[in-house]
Amino acid sequence: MKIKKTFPRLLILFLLLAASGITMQAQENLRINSIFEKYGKQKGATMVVLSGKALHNYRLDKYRSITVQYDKPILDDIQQCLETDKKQARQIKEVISNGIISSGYYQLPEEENHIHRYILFKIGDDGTATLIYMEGGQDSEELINRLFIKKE
Amino acid sequence: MTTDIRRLLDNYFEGNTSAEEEKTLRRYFAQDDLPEDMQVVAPIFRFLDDESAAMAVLNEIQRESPITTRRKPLLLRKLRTIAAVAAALLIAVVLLTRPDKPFPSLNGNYVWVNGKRITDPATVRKYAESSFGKVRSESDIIEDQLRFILE
Repeated sequence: MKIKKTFPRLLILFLLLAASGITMQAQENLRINSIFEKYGKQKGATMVVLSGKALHNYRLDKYRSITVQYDKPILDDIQQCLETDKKQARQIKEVISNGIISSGYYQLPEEENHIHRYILFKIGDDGTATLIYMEGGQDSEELINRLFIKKE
Repeated sequence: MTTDIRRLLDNYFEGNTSAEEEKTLRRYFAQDDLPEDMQVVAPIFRFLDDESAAMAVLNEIQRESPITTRRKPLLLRKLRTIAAVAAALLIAVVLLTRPDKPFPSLNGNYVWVNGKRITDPATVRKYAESSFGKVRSESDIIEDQLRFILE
């Protein structure tokens, strides 16, 4: 009788573990995360992290930006990350100059709970490159679009 | 008979009796009407007789129902081992390959400038506005492109 009870319990436990593993694997992973992790605290870099009340006016939940001085290896790294992450973007506004992304706006697919995600990037005239990642609710899209394009 | 018994008794107390001779003594002393001088040592052989009988019964019981250790069926043990190993492997795979949540360690409001962390809200806000200003487009790209082509 013990055999009949124990084996099904073990099987259920195994299936639960498998299901949780599959769920975790399904979460999207952004390559640009590595840029913030690798270069954010380096000399010559400026990394801004905002969340919560500081972003209420912008209808955002998260804001991350990094500005680095022009450096070919770093820029190559950023370019590769953007090339990967933009594949899942549902909206792209991009300028490519001499084969590299000089500016870009990418809106990624919504996550659960209607979280909108955005990646912004630009190589400035001052020799710096800025990468931004933002998350916000449904109201954020219009605001970001308006802010992204400066109107005279 | 009594003389033989006495001789056997002497041999018994000297430790020179065989098992058969001791059996004979026990049988003799199991009787009720014994000579008075024999009644003194009778209890020894009656006790031995009782103990011998008890041991015989005990041996009989053990022979009929041997003690066996129950072991779990081999199949169940194998299944448990396989399930435990599979679960451990799955946990290891998930932990090692799980994708990082975006910015798991970046929470709160702060700015890192040249490797130094600043949490002053006004300073953080200033840098945030500056960084966003750097990515803003000066104008609508499509308008610029069309204007250029149509010139």
